[in-house]
Amino acid sequence: MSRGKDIMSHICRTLNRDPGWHGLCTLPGVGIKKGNQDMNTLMNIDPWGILDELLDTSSRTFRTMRARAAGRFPPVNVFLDDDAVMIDLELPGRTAKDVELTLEPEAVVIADKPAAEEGKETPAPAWSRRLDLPFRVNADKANAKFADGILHIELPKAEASGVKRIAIEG
Amino acid sequence: MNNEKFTVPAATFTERPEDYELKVMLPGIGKNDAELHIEGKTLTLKTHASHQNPAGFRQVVSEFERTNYAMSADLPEMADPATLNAKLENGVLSVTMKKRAETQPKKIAIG
Repeated sequence: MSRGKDIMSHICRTLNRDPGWHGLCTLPGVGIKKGNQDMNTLMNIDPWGILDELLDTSSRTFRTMRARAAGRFPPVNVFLDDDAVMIDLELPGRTAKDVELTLEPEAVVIADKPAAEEGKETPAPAWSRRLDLPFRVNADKANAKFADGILHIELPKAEASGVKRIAIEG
Repeated sequence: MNNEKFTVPAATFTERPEDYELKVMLPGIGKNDAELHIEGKTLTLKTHASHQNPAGFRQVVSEFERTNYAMSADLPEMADPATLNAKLENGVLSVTMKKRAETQPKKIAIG
């Protein structure tokens, strides 16, 4: 957060020195103060507080932009315990009909399911994520639920495949 | 969820011929978790959802945070606050407001 404010105050100081700048750029503690006018001016420059968010490299906005650029959209959270994997995906505005979920033996693929237009080929998915899983999952017990723009997927681990101990008699 | 932390949500504001639309991304927030207030020309949004990570699980990938959101903004001059309409569905808040009738262009008949 403070880096955003540093940059804002540098911009304010630079702008205030520039004879071509006709606005009044203020930040509390820097430059010209005129009572409440500094807060109003700050609102005009950055009413949504987005500049701070963008410049703060730990902020959600910055990380989302980086992730999109790296092809990691939508953002996921993955939780693990010994018996299951849980995955959350952030997809505001979407519902079950917009997403295709495919289970492979040791991976899950979540992809966009674009709406098909009349008489045209179904367009290619706009995004797709493949997550490798640490164990095989039981497809029959898998479930997924969309709520408030978050897709929540639960994948229980498959029972150990066919390795059984044989009691030795005698 | 950290009760003290509020994130500024991603939002878009669109002007159309007769109204404005504000769309705010609020993933994980239900209708009952969000509060929208209007005071004069200032619109304020604050959410108070609570979310717990699944008990007994360890988080191995963390690409997004389940936070609460807060933002405030002044509505444009031409907006009529009395016509505000808000809907929160699938984690997206959609607020529409009509432009004040007297600001709309009118044709004048030439007699």
